[in-house]
Amino acid sequence: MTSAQFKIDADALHAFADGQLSGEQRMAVERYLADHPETAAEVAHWRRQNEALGALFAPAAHEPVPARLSPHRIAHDIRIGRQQAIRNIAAAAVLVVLGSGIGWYGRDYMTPTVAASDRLIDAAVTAHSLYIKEKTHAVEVAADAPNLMTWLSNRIATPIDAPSLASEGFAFIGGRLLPGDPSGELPAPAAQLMYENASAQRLTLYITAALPDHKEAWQFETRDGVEAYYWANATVTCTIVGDLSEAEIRALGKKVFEQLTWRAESSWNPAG
Amino acid sequence: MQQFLDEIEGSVPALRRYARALTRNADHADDLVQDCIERAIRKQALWKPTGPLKAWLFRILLNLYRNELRSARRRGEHVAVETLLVEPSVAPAQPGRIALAEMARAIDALVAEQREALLLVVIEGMNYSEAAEVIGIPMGTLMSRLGRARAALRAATGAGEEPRLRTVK
Repeated sequence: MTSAQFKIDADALHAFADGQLSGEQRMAVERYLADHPETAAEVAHWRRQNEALGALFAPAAHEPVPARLSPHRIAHDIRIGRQQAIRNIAAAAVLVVLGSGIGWYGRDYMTPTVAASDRLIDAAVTAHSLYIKEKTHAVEVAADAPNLMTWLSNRIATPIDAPSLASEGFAFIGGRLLPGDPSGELPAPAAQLMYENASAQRLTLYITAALPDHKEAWQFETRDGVEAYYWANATVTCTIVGDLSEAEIRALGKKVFEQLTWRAESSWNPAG
Repeated sequence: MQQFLDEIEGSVPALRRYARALTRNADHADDLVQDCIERAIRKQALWKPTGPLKAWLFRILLNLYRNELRSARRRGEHVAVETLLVEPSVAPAQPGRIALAEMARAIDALVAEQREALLLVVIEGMNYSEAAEVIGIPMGTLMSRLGRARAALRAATGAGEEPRLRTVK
Protein backbone atom coordinates (compact mmCIF):
# COMPACT_ATOMS: atom_id res chain seq x y z
CA MET A 1 0.00 0.00 0.00
CA THR A 2 1.72 3.19 -1.08
CA SER A 3 0.57 6.52 0.23
CA ALA A 4 -0.87 7.40 -3.18
CA GLN A 5 -3.20 4.39 -3.05
CA PHE A 6 -3.90 4.57 0.64
CA LYS A 7 -7.58 4.76 1.17
CA ILE A 8 -9.26 5.15 4.50
CA ASP A 9 -11.65 2.24 4.48
CA ALA A 10 -12.62 -0.37 7.04
CA ASP A 11 -9.42 -2.32 6.44
CA ALA A 12 -7.33 0.75 7.11
CA LEU A 13 -9.22 1.40 10.34
CA HIS A 14 -8.59 -2.15 11.54
CA ALA A 15 -4.95 -1.89 10.59
CA PHE A 16 -4.82 1.35 12.55
CA ALA A 17 -6.34 -0.28 15.63
CA ASP A 18 -3.91 -3.19 15.31
CA GLY A 19 -0.86 -0.98 14.91
CA GLN A 20 -0.16 -2.29 11.43
CA LEU A 21 0.14 1.02 9.63
CA SER A 22 3.22 2.96 8.69
CA GLY A 23 3.72 6.38 10.27
CA GLU A 24 2.34 8.30 7.34
CA GLN A 25 -0.76 6.17 7.01
CA ARG A 26 -1.31 6.32 10.73
CA MET A 27 -1.31 10.10 10.65
CA ALA A 28 -3.76 10.10 7.76
CA VAL A 29 -6.14 7.92 9.77
CA GLU A 30 -5.73 10.14 12.83
CA ARG A 31 -6.68 13.18 10.80
CA TYR A 32 -9.67 11.34 9.43
CA LEU A 33 -10.81 10.22 12.87
CA ALA A 34 -10.53 13.76 14.23
CA ASP A 35 -13.23 14.72 11.73
CA HIS A 36 -15.41 11.64 12.21
CA PRO A 37 -16.16 11.23 15.91
CA GLU A 38 -18.48 8.26 15.45
CA THR A 39 -15.92 6.24 13.60
CA ALA A 40 -13.35 7.38 16.11
CA ALA A 41 -15.49 6.02 18.93
CA GLU A 42 -15.74 2.69 17.18
CA VAL A 43 -12.02 2.45 16.57
CA ALA A 44 -11.37 3.44 20.19
CA HIS A 45 -13.61 0.60 21.26
CA TRP A 46 -11.67 -1.84 19.09
CA ARG A 47 -8.50 -0.76 20.82
CA ARG A 48 -10.06 -1.34 24.20
CA GLN A 49 -11.10 -4.77 22.99
CA ASN A 50 -7.48 -5.45 22.07
CA GLU A 51 -6.36 -4.33 25.50
CA ALA A 52 -8.89 -6.52 27.25
CA LEU A 53 -7.98 -9.51 25.09
CA GLY A 54 -4.32 -8.93 25.83
CA ALA A 55 -5.02 -8.78 29.56
CA LEU A 56 -6.98 -12.00 29.37
CA PHE A 57 -4.76 -14.12 27.21
CA ALA A 58 -1.26 -12.72 26.88
CA PRO A 59 -0.02 -13.94 30.31
CA ALA A 60 -0.30 -17.59 29.25
CA ALA A 61 2.84 -17.18 27.16
CA HIS A 62 4.91 -16.27 30.19
CA GLU A 63 4.03 -19.27 32.28
CA PRO A 64 6.72 -21.91 32.62
CA VAL A 65 6.30 -24.52 29.91
CA PRO A 66 5.58 -28.00 31.29
CA ALA A 67 8.14 -30.67 30.44
CA ARG A 68 5.64 -32.66 28.42
CA LEU A 69 5.63 -29.84 25.85
CA SER A 70 9.36 -30.01 25.24
CA PRO A 71 9.83 -30.81 21.54
CA HIS A 72 13.08 -32.58 22.42
CA ARG A 73 11.30 -34.86 24.84
CA ILE A 74 8.48 -35.51 22.42
CA ALA A 75 10.95 -36.31 19.63
CA HIS A 76 12.71 -38.68 21.97
CA ASP A 77 9.48 -40.42 22.93
CA ILE A 78 8.59 -40.83 19.27
CA ARG A 79 11.99 -42.36 18.60
CA ILE A 80 11.67 -44.74 21.53
CA GLY A 81 8.21 -45.73 20.35
CA ARG A 82 9.56 -46.54 16.92
CA GLN A 83 12.49 -48.50 18.30
CA GLN A 84 10.09 -50.37 20.51
CA ALA A 85 7.92 -51.22 17.54
CA ILE A 86 10.94 -52.49 15.62
CA ARG A 87 12.08 -54.48 18.63
CA ASN A 88 8.65 -55.99 19.01
CA ILE A 89 8.66 -57.07 15.39
CA ALA A 90 12.15 -58.49 15.78
CA ALA A 91 11.14 -60.29 18.95
CA ALA A 92 8.09 -61.73 17.22
CA ALA A 93 10.29 -62.95 14.37
CA VAL A 94 12.62 -64.59 16.85
CA LEU A 95 9.69 -66.31 18.51
CA VAL A 96 8.56 -67.70 15.19
CA VAL A 97 12.02 -69.05 14.57
CA LEU A 98 12.09 -70.51 18.05
CA GLY A 99 8.75 -72.15 17.54
CA SER A 100 9.97 -73.87 14.42
CA GLY A 101 12.40 -75.92 16.42
CA ILE A 102 15.61 -74.08 17.03
CA GLY A 103 14.50 -73.79 20.62
CA TRP A 104 17.37 -73.74 22.99
CA TYR A 105 19.72 -71.71 20.84
CA GLY A 106 17.21 -68.93 20.61
CA ARG A 107 17.69 -68.00 24.24
CA ASP A 108 20.39 -65.49 23.53
CA TYR A 109 18.27 -63.65 21.04
CA MET A 110 15.60 -63.16 23.63
CA THR A 111 17.84 -61.05 25.80
CA PRO A 112 16.78 -57.52 25.03
CA THR A 113 19.58 -55.51 23.58
CA VAL A 114 20.06 -52.26 25.40
CA ALA A 115 20.80 -49.45 23.00
CA ALA A 116 24.40 -48.25 23.00
CA SER A 117 23.24 -44.77 23.96
CA ASP A 118 21.44 -46.13 27.02
CA ARG A 119 24.54 -47.99 28.13
CA LEU A 120 26.68 -44.93 27.67
CA ILE A 121 24.19 -42.83 29.62
CA ASP A 122 24.18 -45.42 32.39
CA ALA A 123 27.97 -45.38 32.54
CA ALA A 124 27.99 -41.57 32.55
CA VAL A 125 25.46 -41.35 35.38
CA THR A 126 27.31 -43.98 37.43
CA ALA A 127 30.63 -42.20 36.99
CA HIS A 128 29.01 -38.88 37.77
CA SER A 129 27.47 -40.11 41.01
CA LEU A 130 30.70 -41.78 42.04
CA TYR A 131 33.00 -38.83 41.60
CA ILE A 132 31.01 -35.69 42.30
CA LYS A 133 30.86 -36.63 45.99
CA GLU A 134 34.65 -36.44 46.25
CA LYS A 135 35.92 -33.30 47.85
CA THR A 136 39.66 -33.48 47.35
CA HIS A 137 39.95 -36.16 44.66
CA ALA A 138 37.08 -35.28 42.43
CA VAL A 139 39.38 -35.29 39.44
CA GLU A 140 42.44 -37.29 38.54
CA VAL A 141 44.14 -34.45 36.73
CA ALA A 142 43.41 -30.81 37.49
CA ALA A 143 42.31 -28.43 34.80
CA ASP A 144 45.56 -26.48 34.85
CA ALA A 145 47.80 -29.51 34.30
CA PRO A 146 49.70 -29.21 31.04
CA ASN A 147 48.55 -31.47 28.22
CA LEU A 148 45.52 -32.76 30.09
CA MET A 149 43.29 -32.56 27.04
CA THR A 150 45.95 -33.86 24.66
CA TRP A 151 46.44 -36.84 26.91
CA LEU A 152 42.71 -37.56 27.15
CA SER A 153 42.25 -37.05 23.41
CA ASN A 154 44.99 -39.56 22.69
CA ARG A 155 43.66 -42.12 25.14
CA ILE A 156 40.06 -42.03 23.95
CA ALA A 157 41.31 -41.73 20.36
CA THR A 158 39.24 -38.75 19.41
CA PRO A 159 40.08 -35.07 19.57
CA ILE A 160 38.39 -33.21 22.37
CA ASP A 161 38.82 -29.94 24.11
CA ALA A 162 37.32 -28.94 27.42
CA PRO A 163 34.38 -26.72 26.44
CA SER A 164 34.28 -23.40 28.20
CA LEU A 165 31.09 -23.09 30.24
CA ALA A 166 32.14 -19.92 32.02
CA SER A 167 29.25 -18.02 30.49
CA GLU A 168 26.90 -20.46 32.23
CA GLY A 169 28.76 -20.04 35.51
CA PHE A 170 30.60 -23.37 35.42
CA ALA A 171 34.36 -23.60 35.74
CA PHE A 172 36.35 -26.55 34.42
CA ILE A 173 38.05 -28.28 37.34
CA GLY A 174 39.70 -31.24 35.63
CA GLY A 175 39.24 -34.68 34.23
CA ARG A 176 39.97 -38.36 34.48
CA LEU A 177 40.25 -41.40 32.30
CA LEU A 178 37.70 -44.17 32.88
CA PRO A 179 37.81 -47.75 31.63
CA GLY A 180 34.35 -47.52 30.06
CA ASP A 181 32.47 -50.51 28.73
CA PRO A 182 34.40 -53.77 29.24
CA SER A 183 32.49 -55.77 26.61
CA GLY A 184 34.33 -54.26 23.70
CA GLU A 185 31.04 -53.37 22.04
CA LEU A 186 31.20 -49.71 22.93
CA PRO A 187 33.97 -47.21 22.42
CA ALA A 188 36.35 -47.25 25.38
CA PRO A 189 38.00 -45.88 27.37
CA ALA A 190 36.07 -42.77 28.31
CA ALA A 191 37.08 -39.34 29.52
CA GLN A 192 35.20 -37.61 32.29
CA LEU A 193 35.44 -33.84 32.56
CA MET A 194 34.13 -32.13 35.66
CA TYR A 195 32.78 -28.61 36.09
CA GLU A 196 31.67 -26.71 39.14
CA ASN A 197 29.73 -23.51 39.65
CA ALA A 198 29.77 -20.91 42.40
CA SER A 199 27.17 -22.78 44.43
CA ALA A 200 29.23 -25.99 44.27
CA GLN A 201 26.96 -27.70 41.82
CA ARG A 202 28.92 -30.16 39.73
CA LEU A 203 28.46 -31.18 36.20
CA THR A 204 30.27 -33.94 34.34
CA LEU A 205 30.81 -34.74 30.70
CA TYR A 206 31.35 -38.37 29.77
CA ILE A 207 33.07 -38.51 26.42
CA THR A 208 34.03 -41.41 24.19
CA ALA A 209 35.04 -41.88 20.59
CA ALA A 210 32.17 -42.23 18.12
CA LEU A 211 29.96 -45.28 17.92
CA PRO A 212 30.55 -47.54 14.90
CA ASP A 213 27.47 -46.14 13.15
CA HIS A 214 28.85 -42.56 13.35
CA LYS A 215 25.29 -41.30 13.39
CA GLU A 216 24.14 -38.06 14.91
CA ALA A 217 21.77 -38.70 17.81
CA TRP A 218 20.38 -37.04 20.92
CA GLN A 219 18.76 -38.40 23.98
CA PHE A 220 17.54 -36.82 27.14
CA GLU A 221 17.05 -38.89 30.27
CA THR A 222 16.35 -38.49 33.93
CA ARG A 223 18.08 -41.23 35.86
CA ASP A 224 18.64 -41.64 39.56
CA GLY A 225 17.56 -38.09 40.15
CA VAL A 226 19.99 -36.51 37.73
CA GLU A 227 19.49 -35.28 34.23
CA ALA A 228 21.55 -36.73 31.42
CA TYR A 229 21.79 -35.29 27.96
CA TYR A 230 23.43 -37.57 25.44
CA TRP A 231 24.72 -36.56 22.08
CA ALA A 232 26.64 -38.44 19.42
CA ASN A 233 28.04 -37.57 16.04
CA ALA A 234 30.69 -38.87 13.68
CA THR A 235 33.51 -37.97 16.06
CA VAL A 236 32.35 -38.35 19.66
CA THR A 237 29.65 -39.34 22.06
CA CYS A 238 29.17 -37.03 24.98
CA THR A 239 26.80 -37.32 27.91
CA ILE A 240 26.28 -34.31 30.12
CA VAL A 241 25.18 -35.23 33.60
CA GLY A 242 24.06 -32.88 36.33
CA ASP A 243 21.46 -32.22 38.94
CA LEU A 244 19.99 -29.31 37.01
CA SER A 245 16.73 -28.44 35.40
CA GLU A 246 16.08 -29.76 31.93
CA ALA A 247 16.21 -26.25 30.53
CA GLU A 248 19.57 -25.55 32.14
CA ILE A 249 21.08 -28.79 30.95
CA ARG A 250 19.84 -28.17 27.44
CA ALA A 251 21.38 -24.71 27.44
CA LEU A 252 24.65 -26.20 28.65
CA GLY A 253 24.34 -28.98 26.11
CA LYS A 254 24.20 -26.53 23.31
CA LYS A 255 27.42 -24.87 24.46
CA VAL A 256 29.19 -28.16 25.02
CA PHE A 257 28.19 -29.68 21.72
CA GLU A 258 29.09 -26.61 19.73
CA GLN A 259 32.54 -26.46 21.24
CA LEU A 260 33.29 -30.16 21.11
CA THR A 261 32.36 -30.36 17.44
CA TRP A 262 34.20 -27.27 16.55
CA ARG A 263 37.45 -28.61 17.85
CA ALA A 264 36.81 -32.03 16.43
CA GLU A 265 36.22 -30.68 12.99
CA SER A 266 39.07 -28.25 12.93
CA SER A 267 42.61 -29.14 13.69
CA TRP A 268 43.47 -32.26 15.54
CA ASN A 269 46.64 -34.00 14.83
CA PRO A 270 46.96 -37.30 16.68
CA ALA A 271 50.67 -37.34 16.03
CA GLY A 272 51.11 -33.99 17.75
CA MET B 1 16.80 -32.14 13.63
CA GLN B 2 18.13 -30.42 16.71
CA GLN B 3 17.72 -27.02 15.15
CA PHE B 4 14.23 -27.91 14.03
CA LEU B 5 13.33 -28.90 17.58
CA ASP B 6 14.87 -25.73 18.98
CA GLU B 7 12.81 -23.69 16.58
CA ILE B 8 9.63 -25.45 17.60
CA GLU B 9 10.57 -24.87 21.21
CA GLY B 10 10.76 -21.16 20.52
CA SER B 11 7.15 -21.16 19.37
CA VAL B 12 5.75 -23.20 22.24
CA PRO B 13 4.83 -20.26 24.51
CA ALA B 14 2.90 -18.59 21.70
CA LEU B 15 1.18 -21.84 20.74
CA ARG B 16 0.11 -22.33 24.34
CA ARG B 17 -1.22 -18.82 24.54
CA TYR B 18 -3.24 -19.19 21.37
CA ALA B 19 -4.54 -22.63 22.33
CA ARG B 20 -5.51 -21.33 25.76
CA ALA B 21 -7.39 -18.42 24.24
CA LEU B 22 -9.21 -20.74 21.85
CA THR B 23 -10.14 -23.43 24.33
CA ARG B 24 -10.29 -21.39 27.56
CA ASN B 25 -9.00 -24.43 29.37
CA ALA B 26 -5.32 -24.76 30.32
CA ASP B 27 -5.07 -28.55 30.27
CA HIS B 28 -7.02 -28.91 27.11
CA ALA B 29 -4.85 -26.23 25.50
CA ASP B 30 -1.64 -28.02 26.49
CA ASP B 31 -2.98 -31.29 25.12
CA LEU B 32 -3.55 -29.57 21.81
CA VAL B 33 -0.07 -28.08 21.81
CA GLN B 34 1.44 -31.45 22.62
CA ASP B 35 -0.43 -33.06 19.72
CA CYS B 36 0.67 -30.21 17.51
CA ILE B 37 4.35 -30.63 18.35
CA GLU B 38 4.16 -34.38 17.94
CA ARG B 39 2.55 -34.05 14.56
CA ALA B 40 5.09 -31.47 13.44
CA ILE B 41 7.96 -33.76 14.42
CA ARG B 42 6.44 -36.80 12.74
CA LYS B 43 5.67 -34.83 9.63
CA GLN B 44 8.85 -32.84 9.56
CA ALA B 45 9.49 -34.05 6.03
CA LEU B 46 6.29 -32.37 4.91
CA TRP B 47 7.41 -28.98 6.04
CA LYS B 48 8.94 -27.00 3.22
CA PRO B 49 11.48 -24.67 4.75
CA THR B 50 10.28 -21.98 2.36
CA GLY B 51 7.61 -20.77 4.76
CA PRO B 52 8.09 -19.81 8.36
CA LEU B 53 7.93 -22.74 10.75
CA LYS B 54 5.82 -20.78 13.18
CA ALA B 55 2.99 -20.32 10.68
CA TRP B 56 3.05 -24.01 9.89
CA LEU B 57 2.82 -24.88 13.59
CA PHE B 58 -0.13 -22.56 14.05
CA ARG B 59 -1.81 -24.11 11.05
CA ILE B 60 -1.40 -27.57 12.57
CA LEU B 61 -2.68 -26.37 15.92
CA LEU B 62 -5.70 -24.74 14.39
CA ASN B 63 -6.50 -27.83 12.36
CA LEU B 64 -6.30 -30.04 15.42
CA TYR B 65 -8.57 -27.68 17.27
CA ARG B 66 -11.07 -27.63 14.43
CA ASN B 67 -11.02 -31.41 14.18
CA GLU B 68 -11.88 -31.57 17.83
CA LEU B 69 -14.66 -29.05 17.47
CA ARG B 70 -16.05 -31.03 14.61
CA SER B 71 -16.06 -34.33 16.41
CA ALA B 72 -17.38 -32.72 19.60
CA ARG B 73 -20.22 -31.23 17.60
CA ARG B 74 -20.95 -34.57 16.00
CA ARG B 75 -21.14 -36.23 19.37
CA GLY B 76 -23.25 -33.35 20.59
CA GLU B 77 -20.95 -32.75 23.49
CA HIS B 78 -21.25 -29.78 25.72
CA VAL B 79 -18.43 -28.58 27.80
CA ALA B 80 -19.32 -27.37 31.25
CA VAL B 81 -19.17 -23.62 31.44
CA GLU B 82 -17.28 -23.75 34.74
CA THR B 83 -14.35 -25.47 33.08
CA LEU B 84 -14.18 -22.87 30.38
CA LEU B 85 -14.44 -19.72 32.35
CA VAL B 86 -11.09 -19.03 33.81
CA GLU B 87 -11.72 -15.86 35.72
CA PRO B 88 -8.64 -13.73 35.55
CA SER B 89 -7.36 -12.41 38.81
CA VAL B 90 -7.23 -8.78 37.91
CA ALA B 91 -8.64 -5.63 39.34
CA PRO B 92 -12.21 -4.77 38.40
CA ALA B 93 -12.64 -2.81 35.25
CA GLN B 94 -11.74 0.82 35.38
CA PRO B 95 -13.88 3.38 33.65
CA GLY B 96 -13.34 3.27 29.92
CA ARG B 97 -12.05 -0.28 30.14
CA ILE B 98 -13.89 -3.40 29.23
CA ALA B 99 -14.58 -5.74 32.14
CA LEU B 100 -12.48 -8.80 31.52
CA ALA B 101 -15.05 -11.34 32.59
CA GLU B 102 -17.48 -9.71 30.23
CA MET B 103 -14.93 -9.90 27.45
CA ALA B 104 -14.23 -13.56 28.22
CA ARG B 105 -17.92 -14.34 27.81
CA ALA B 106 -18.15 -12.28 24.65
CA ILE B 107 -15.22 -14.13 23.09
CA ASP B 108 -16.79 -17.48 23.90
CA ALA B 109 -19.97 -16.37 22.21
CA LEU B 110 -18.19 -15.52 18.96
CA VAL B 111 -18.50 -17.73 15.92
CA ALA B 112 -15.45 -20.01 15.90
CA GLU B 113 -14.05 -18.69 12.63
CA GLN B 114 -14.23 -15.10 13.85
CA ARG B 115 -12.58 -16.01 17.14
CA GLU B 116 -9.69 -17.80 15.38
CA ALA B 117 -9.03 -14.80 13.19
CA LEU B 118 -9.32 -12.14 15.86
CA LEU B 119 -7.06 -13.97 18.31
CA LEU B 120 -4.34 -14.56 15.72
CA VAL B 121 -4.22 -10.86 14.97
CA VAL B 122 -4.71 -9.43 18.43
CA ILE B 123 -3.09 -11.97 20.75
CA GLU B 124 -0.43 -13.37 18.45
CA GLY B 125 0.25 -10.04 16.80
CA MET B 126 0.29 -11.57 13.34
CA ASN B 127 -0.03 -9.25 10.42
CA TYR B 128 -3.05 -9.77 8.23
CA SER B 129 -1.36 -11.73 5.48
CA GLU B 130 0.28 -14.10 7.99
CA ALA B 131 -3.01 -14.67 9.77
CA ALA B 132 -4.85 -15.26 6.49
CA GLU B 133 -2.23 -17.80 5.51
CA VAL B 134 -2.42 -19.66 8.81
CA ILE B 135 -6.18 -19.90 8.57
CA GLY B 136 -6.03 -20.65 4.87
CA ILE B 137 -8.33 -17.90 3.64
CA PRO B 138 -7.92 -14.89 1.37
CA MET B 139 -7.04 -11.61 2.99
CA GLY B 140 -10.47 -10.10 2.21
CA THR B 141 -12.17 -12.92 4.08
CA LEU B 142 -9.89 -12.40 7.03
CA MET B 143 -10.72 -8.70 7.14
CA SER B 144 -14.43 -9.31 7.03
CA ARG B 145 -14.19 -11.89 9.84
CA LEU B 146 -12.19 -9.42 11.85
CA GLY B 147 -14.80 -6.75 11.24
CA ARG B 148 -17.68 -8.99 12.25
CA ALA B 149 -15.82 -10.22 15.32
CA ARG B 150 -15.22 -6.68 16.50
CA ALA B 151 -18.76 -5.61 15.87
CA ALA B 152 -20.03 -8.60 17.84
CA LEU B 153 -17.68 -7.90 20.71
CA ARG B 154 -18.70 -4.29 20.76
CA ALA B 155 -22.35 -5.23 20.89
CA ALA B 156 -21.64 -7.64 23.73
CA THR B 157 -19.33 -5.51 25.84
CA GLY B 158 -20.63 -2.04 26.13
CA ALA B 159 -22.25 -0.74 23.02
CA GLY B 160 -24.18 1.55 25.33
CA GLU B 161 -21.16 2.96 27.04
CA GLU B 162 -19.97 6.30 25.81
CA PRO B 163 -16.39 5.78 24.82
CA ARG B 164 -13.81 8.42 25.34
CA LEU B 165 -11.71 9.09 22.35
CA ARG B 166 -8.12 9.07 23.40
CA THR B 167 -5.51 10.87 21.46
CA VAL B 168 -3.73 8.24 19.56
CA LYS B 169 -0.11 8.83 18.92
